[in-house]
Amino acid sequence: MRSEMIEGLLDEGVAADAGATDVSGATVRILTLLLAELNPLIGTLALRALYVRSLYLAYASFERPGADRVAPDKRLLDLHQDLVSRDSAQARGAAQALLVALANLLVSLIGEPLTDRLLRKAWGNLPVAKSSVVKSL
Amino acid sequence: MKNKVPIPRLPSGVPGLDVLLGGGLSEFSFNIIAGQPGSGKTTLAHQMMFALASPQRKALFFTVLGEPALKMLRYQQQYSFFDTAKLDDAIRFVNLGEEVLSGDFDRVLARIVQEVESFEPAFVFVDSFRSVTQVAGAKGQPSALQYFVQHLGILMTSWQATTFLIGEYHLLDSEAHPVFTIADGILMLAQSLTQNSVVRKIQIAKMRGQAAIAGLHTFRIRDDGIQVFPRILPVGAHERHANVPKAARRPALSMGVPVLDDMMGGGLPAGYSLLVAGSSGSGKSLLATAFLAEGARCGEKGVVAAFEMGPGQTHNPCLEDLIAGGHVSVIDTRALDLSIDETLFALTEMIKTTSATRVVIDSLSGFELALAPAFRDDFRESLHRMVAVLTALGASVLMVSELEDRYTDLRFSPYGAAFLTDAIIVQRYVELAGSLKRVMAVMKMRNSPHSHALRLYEITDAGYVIGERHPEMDALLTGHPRPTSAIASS
Repeated sequence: MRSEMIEGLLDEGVAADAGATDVSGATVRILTLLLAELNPLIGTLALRALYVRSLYLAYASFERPGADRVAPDKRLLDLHQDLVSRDSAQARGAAQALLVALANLLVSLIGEPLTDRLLRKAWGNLPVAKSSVVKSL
Repeated sequence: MKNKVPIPRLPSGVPGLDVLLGGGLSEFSFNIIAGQPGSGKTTLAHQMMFALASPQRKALFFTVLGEPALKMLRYQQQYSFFDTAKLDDAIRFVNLGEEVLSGDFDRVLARIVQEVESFEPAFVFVDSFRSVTQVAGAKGQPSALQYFVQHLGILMTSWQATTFLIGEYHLLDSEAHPVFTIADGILMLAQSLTQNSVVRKIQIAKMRGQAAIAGLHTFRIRDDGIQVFPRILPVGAHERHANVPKAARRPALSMGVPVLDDMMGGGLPAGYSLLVAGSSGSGKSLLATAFLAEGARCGEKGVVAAFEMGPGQTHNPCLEDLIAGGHVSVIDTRALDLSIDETLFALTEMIKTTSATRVVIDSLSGFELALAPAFRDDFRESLHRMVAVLTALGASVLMVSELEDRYTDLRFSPYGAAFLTDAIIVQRYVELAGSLKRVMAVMKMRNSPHSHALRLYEITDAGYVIGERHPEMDALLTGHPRPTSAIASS
């Protein structure tokens, strides 16, 4: 359900024929909202560690031979550059994998109720979130 | 003083703790929860926070550099008090790691104030504030602890927030002295290891403006959080023995052994404590069962704390029937690190729940072995407290004690329990004509006439059968019985 919700967020935020730049923009926006919600709760250090772990998990299946890994210290800028360098479908897949990995990582650490509560707080004000995808959490 | 400011007491949400605090937590107080790692500080803080917080009286929990916030949330939600529905509306967690790492304590305080202004909490928690001071020490700011705590105390009191600082401190910790001076309340937690047993204790080292109960009190951490077992006597328990009503004014409870009732002057006066001391195999547990069975026959409930066997292992069909029939409840005594106060709590809760009037403790030796080693030194004092509490509740208490059968030295119990109890029945073996015979006597019955006769008895399928005094022999307890006629002629 969480995966479907994230897919729905991306679908509603980015038109089906949109390019990688639009996919990246929507992804960074969605991610930023969640990180902003997490930051005061767990602190910058833990936030960075979670992000790095999510990148590691997500990009295992989206690594491209010869391409640089997304550097965690550059964080969102680097992610943006990586996504826009892909074709649209690949960018969408990588973005979704990253968001799902982060959500699942949170579930494994603090459980579903707390994670869903955080996701709802982070994404509840997105226009797309007014649809059932976030409310269903 | 007239018109003194009233200080509301807030229920802590920790069973047993409010008794120690003298009624609850003082509103707007500035408190410290201190103790070594693993002593339960964060759990205590969370339990209080989830009990105290509501959308009208919110709580802010600041995490610093101690336990990572993610782990704290991961583990604390295992307790039943962790209510996710309270998060955001009533409780908010804020991490101060970045501000603390900067070493700028004005920045830390500014962030706290900013969050407090924004969320307007009635309760503020900082876990762990020692991390703050350790960073300060590393940056060459030795007085930072006092500075930080003093300012925080002033700010939080001005904000009318009841505040709790959590830190790995000991009462003798010199670094903590300035903090302890500033605090209105200090709750010290400790866990001590004796042999293979760990015992957790709490001490209210300071509580301004209210009569907290001094001393160390045991507590246990379970799935539903912390449970404190206050080490107290009920009101008036000290005067109990001096003012004990005449037995004749109390209804007498039948022991379930007819002749024995006669020997006791009609039975055991209600609310009395009785020590049944006897040699191994002399039938002490059977007498205790008869006492409970007689209660069941009269419509009275019973409670048994059986320390020498687990539930369902009584090897006593009558007792098992009583338990199965709901006439008798059993206290779980399987833990090996019990405190007497924990056992007492279980007994009193069971007595209140079932309205039981008859209590059996079988036996004192088993009870002592079930206690954590740290409590065995205080066993006599603990027994005194237990008897006082149980009888103050109106229960009649029968305690079984193994009697070391030495003919020349009659000791009713190795714990000095004879002094503590209102009545004593002793059961012994004597050698007569080459075989062992059982004899019993009522040795003590406070404020009540009773028989002093040493009576022969047997245990049959029908239970106790008490006979007469031995018609021909005397001086049975000396180990050298003589014919009565010989004594008469000498």
